[in-house]
Amino acid sequence: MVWLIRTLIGFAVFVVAVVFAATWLPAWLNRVQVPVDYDDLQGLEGGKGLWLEPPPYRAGDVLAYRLGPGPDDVGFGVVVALPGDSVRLSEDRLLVNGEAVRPWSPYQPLRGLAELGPLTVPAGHWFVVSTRHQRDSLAHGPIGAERVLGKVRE
Amino acid sequence: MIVCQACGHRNPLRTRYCHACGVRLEANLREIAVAVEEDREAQMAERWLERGRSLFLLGAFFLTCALVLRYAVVPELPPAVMPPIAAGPLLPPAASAP
Amino acid sequence: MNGPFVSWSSGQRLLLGVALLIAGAVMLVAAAGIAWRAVQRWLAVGELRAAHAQLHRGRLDEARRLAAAAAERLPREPSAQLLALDPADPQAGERLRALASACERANDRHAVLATLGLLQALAGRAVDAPLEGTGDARLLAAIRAAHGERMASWRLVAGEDPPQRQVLLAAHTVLLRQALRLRSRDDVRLHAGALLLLDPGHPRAALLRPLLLALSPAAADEELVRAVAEAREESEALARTIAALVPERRAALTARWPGLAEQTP
Repeated sequence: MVWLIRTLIGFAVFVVAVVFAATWLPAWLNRVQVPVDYDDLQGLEGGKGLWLEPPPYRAGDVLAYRLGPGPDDVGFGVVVALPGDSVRLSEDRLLVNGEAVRPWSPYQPLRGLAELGPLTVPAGHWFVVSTRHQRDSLAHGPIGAERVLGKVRE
Repeated sequence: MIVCQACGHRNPLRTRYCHACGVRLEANLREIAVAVEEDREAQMAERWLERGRSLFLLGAFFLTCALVLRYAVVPELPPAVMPPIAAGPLLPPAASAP
Repeated sequence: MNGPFVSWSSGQRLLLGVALLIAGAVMLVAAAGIAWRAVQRWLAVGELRAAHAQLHRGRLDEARRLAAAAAERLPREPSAQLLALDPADPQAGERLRALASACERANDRHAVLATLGLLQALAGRAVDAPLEGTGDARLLAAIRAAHGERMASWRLVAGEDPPQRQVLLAAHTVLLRQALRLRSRDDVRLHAGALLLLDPGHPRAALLRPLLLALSPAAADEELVRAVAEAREESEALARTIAALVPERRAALTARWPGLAEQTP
């Protein structure tokens, strides 16, 4: 009887350890660090570690994505357009399927161009924007799934 | 095993009194020889069971670790992305001609 | 563990021991195999991520080399095989067909078929890749029609699968070229704008921005000339194209590139 109880307890501990490792470990490994000097999106403090979630991604989600091989080559942006949506920049406003994106801060490099687009967001891509547009889709184009790390957990 | 002459209980080797009825055990040389042989076999079986159990537990542990590594630790492969395919120059050829 | 086996005979215990030994050995071999494949997969993921980073920086050869290394580790994975593919390879079509039939995920299969379709469309051949009901099919038809004298166009239908990025890029490039050839200002604005939004950091942006500035009434001539000069070795060809497309900008451009006066019709 003692043998049976000991075996059952050992087995239960093993199962709990495996389930814990299988659920928590991937999320922990997929955590992302906000670069120390980051100030491109409200609510994201530099140096903060963030937990990420897998797809599906919806409008309003904050995505973390890779822009280069370095650990600091990470961008964050709010999803404003999904695959298949139409994006247009008109008179310094960003229009998604004809609706103006709010809040919106002007993008200097494209100033002077009256009209841009429309562009259909390609399959497996998301159009994201940030406050200063340094690392968002206006500077890098729609972000492909191969570069997306996940959506920031609220 | 030494069989008790009173109750017939099979006692392990090196037992002086029967584990079942407490009678002093008496065994002749032939019985002792058989008992020694049986004991040797029992010990060998025990050793193999021990080895089997150890290797089984080791195998189960490493298999679980390998499965956790494969399905929990190793990240998902990125989705298939089309390779860049050149669609020609941006400006029509007439513009590039001197 | 000895508990339930106390009453077993030596023969039975020996048999159980050997059976556990065999099962343990099989599990160890399986664990080694799974761990080996997991490590290969992990390394391939790293190589593919690096390949995508290189691709984003425009280093195509390096990206293809890394993808080929990943494809060697994972010979059945379309994500590695597709990126490692050289579109100029004469066997590319056959390899893509084989890859499409081996794809397990619908999205991967779509990307493989779109690659095949784009190669066929750009080569001027009929597209036989089964892409019906997708935005890619419409874009590929527009690419094939872009050689005529009537401006090709497409309309994406709601509910259809959105097009692949490379197909969109190729379609806008081919149609921009046709629009410039046919001097259709609205189409130049549409396709140049879409290309600039699709990849603002690409070197081609240096050509797209002046084209759009030339068509923007608010942009001053000096700003346009400055933007054309930033196109460096292509600035004269660009100036010639803009002068032909927007004759009212010709004077400002000719002042900076005098050779345009006799070359531009």
